[in-house]
Amino acid sequence: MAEKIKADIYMAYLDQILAGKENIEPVDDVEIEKLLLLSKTMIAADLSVNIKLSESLSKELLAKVIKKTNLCMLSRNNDELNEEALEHVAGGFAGQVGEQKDICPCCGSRSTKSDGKCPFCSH
Amino acid sequence: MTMLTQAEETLLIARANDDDSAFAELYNYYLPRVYNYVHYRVTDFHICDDLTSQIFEKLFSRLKYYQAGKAAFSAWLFSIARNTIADYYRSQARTRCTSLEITADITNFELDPSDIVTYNETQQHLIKALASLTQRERDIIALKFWSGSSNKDIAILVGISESNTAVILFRAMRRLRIILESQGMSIYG
Repeated sequence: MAEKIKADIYMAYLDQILAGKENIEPVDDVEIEKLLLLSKTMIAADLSVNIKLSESLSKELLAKVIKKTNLCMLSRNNDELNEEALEHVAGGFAGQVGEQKDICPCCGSRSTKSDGKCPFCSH
Repeated sequence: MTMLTQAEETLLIARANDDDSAFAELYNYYLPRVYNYVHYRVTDFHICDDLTSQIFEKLFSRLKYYQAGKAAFSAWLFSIARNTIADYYRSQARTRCTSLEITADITNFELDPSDIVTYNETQQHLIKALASLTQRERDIIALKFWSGSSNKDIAILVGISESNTAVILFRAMRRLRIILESQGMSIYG
């Protein structure tokens, strides 16, 4: 029998097994029959049985997922400042602007400008 | 495991966005399938635990972007799982300087003593045999057995035609059977 035909027959039977169908028609081809037995063995050998037995691992994984995701959300929320924090930042910035009034934008001199002109470059 | 109907699943997904208990329910429903999928792809069970956790973290943070009309939820979830594993193997390949995507990841693989305690004899044989297959073969077997995705979805995920999926799966299972038999494992009762 051609490989492609065998593959299609195997797939059709496997779909029935995966769907939980119990009474499956007998298979004529020996190789396909062996592969279907292997498939049933693999399903029965469910590797997650170990995590079902060890409930703590499952809970640990879930707790880790939720904790990590909540931390991400918390840090995202921290980017959005509340009013108090905004005032604090604005206050700091206002102070900086105030200080910058005394700095000449032309030469960078920090001298006090009594008449509005820089004593060094007259800007 | 109780199977959810399409409507129940849709409702659960919608609730899981804002409700931790609904997410826990979704998590418990999909955990065995995702865990098996990852373990078929990655042999070490410590890494498997870690990757499973990463997949659910991604699921939780991206759940609001899921669009039911575009893909089945399981296809969407398992595309996250595939990408997480691909990232893992990419990072491994960078350190080992070999492409693990196209070759079997561990040759002459032996289980760690702690794994031997964890798994029964059949599981040990299976994990050892899977390690001898290529990543593509393991991917297709894992998707077919554990993702619950249709053959069409599997073909789209892997990037091959639907008929090719059947042939590759058939060949991979044939190889797996030969490897298991060479290990002395009897699968015929």
